Amino acid sequence: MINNQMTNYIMPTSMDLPPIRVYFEELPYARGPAGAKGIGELPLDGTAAAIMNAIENATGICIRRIPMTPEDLTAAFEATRENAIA
Amino acid sequence: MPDARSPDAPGTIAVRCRVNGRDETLHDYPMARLLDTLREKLHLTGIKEGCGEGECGACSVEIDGKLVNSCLIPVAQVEGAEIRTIEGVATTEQLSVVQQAFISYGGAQCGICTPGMVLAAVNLLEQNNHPTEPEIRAALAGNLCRCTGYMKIFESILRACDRTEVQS
Repeated sequence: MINNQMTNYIMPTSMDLPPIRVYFEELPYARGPAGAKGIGELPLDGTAAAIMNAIENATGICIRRIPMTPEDLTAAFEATRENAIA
Repeated sequence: MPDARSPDAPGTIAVRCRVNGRDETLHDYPMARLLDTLREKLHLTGIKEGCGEGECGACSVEIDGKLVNSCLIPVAQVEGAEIRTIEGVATTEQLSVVQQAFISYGGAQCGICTPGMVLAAVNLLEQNNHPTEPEIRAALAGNLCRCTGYMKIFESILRACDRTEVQS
């Protein structure tokens, strides 16, 4: 973790922020009820996939289900090792 | 479990001060953080620990009218001091004008910065009844907020000024 303390984790203070105005663009979504589309979950969608890709990049092991527990990883590592020995 | 900071525990000192208008004697190690002593001894848990290193302002308290980070103040430093915490801002069921404005105008979201923000705002308004937005920004510069983007907090404080000449 690069920013494991607040001192060098630079976040905007009240002196830094420009004025923020929020506008909603009304664009009905054809497949949602009454044209609605969820907006709250979007930041969550990519996280698990990004972590899985990072693990694949680091170890060569690709896990395709969540939750991805330490036990899942250990099992995957052991399977890989057995394949290598066999 | 015995309390390591009982009045006769070795190495502890007695510090007399006023907290929210009441005389208190704090028994603790000299370098104990004021933050911990106030939370654990006096149960003033409105004071929050955010970063613990003086960056975020969640642990703001007033000492002799000045806003400070209580995580950076050793308890030995407050002998004879007049301390005010968020618990001292509204002493009755009635919220202070600033607190009510934070609720009414969306100045509070997750809440961890809120006690410090309110105290910083009250501290500002007691010195300056009608601050401009730049003055509000400067006064809150030591209090970090990750939810609101600050705009709702500025608005809450400006609205609180509209509502009263006499601050909490």
